Amino acid sequence: MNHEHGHGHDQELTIVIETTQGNWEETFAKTDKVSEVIEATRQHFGFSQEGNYQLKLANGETMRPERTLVSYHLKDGDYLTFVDLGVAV
Amino acid sequence: MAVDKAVSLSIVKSELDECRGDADRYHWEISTLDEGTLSFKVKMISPIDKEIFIVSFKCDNYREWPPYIDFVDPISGQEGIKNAYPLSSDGFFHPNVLICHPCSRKAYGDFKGPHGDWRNLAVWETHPKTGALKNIRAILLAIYERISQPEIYRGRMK
Repeated sequence: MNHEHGHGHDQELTIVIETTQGNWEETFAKTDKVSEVIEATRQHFGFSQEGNYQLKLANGETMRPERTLVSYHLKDGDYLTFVDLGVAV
Repeated sequence: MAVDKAVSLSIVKSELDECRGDADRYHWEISTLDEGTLSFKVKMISPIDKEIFIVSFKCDNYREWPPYIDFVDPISGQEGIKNAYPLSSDGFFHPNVLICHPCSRKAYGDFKGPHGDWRNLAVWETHPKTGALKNIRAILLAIYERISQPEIYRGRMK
């Protein structure tokens, strides 16, 4: 995961993550897993570890946590939606 | 300490405005806000089986207290009965007809919910299990995702 902003690098991807607490534009390595992006988003917004978090593509598809960003053929500027389904307690 | 009703009203109006985009995207029908009771309803349809679910919110003393969330049977109009609720693969939609989560006032022991261990409504936003469900939009999205994902959704509770 690369937390330094930068555009245009072949191995990096700058995406916008939409949450109910606001949007976050960040640069990740293309090979980062979805689970790593979820965790980075959780930490950025200070959400607790005990949520039931998912990332969704613009078409509504839920991204699988074990897959890499590059496997979804994302491009710079794409939006992903961060959702908490809530943990049953 | 009770929240001034005008303050709660302002917050609820603002948070409902934040739901408009999702309402358009997911075809939710959001009722008019009853400013006297700070209550409103949201109708949503499961894209899996087209079942209709109506979520009711009562937001008195919001945000000091979490909203009182319930479901309304779309046929009979009865609130808080099993047939009004969706079912999921976990216990989020609890068989005692409530959402079992710190964002749901009905889950707290003081409101006859199963969580007698949750004694202080005022800390609901910082409860470790609250996660991101800290506003009306996030709660509605969680409910909608749960009736939209085949791995989670189990139809109507009966």
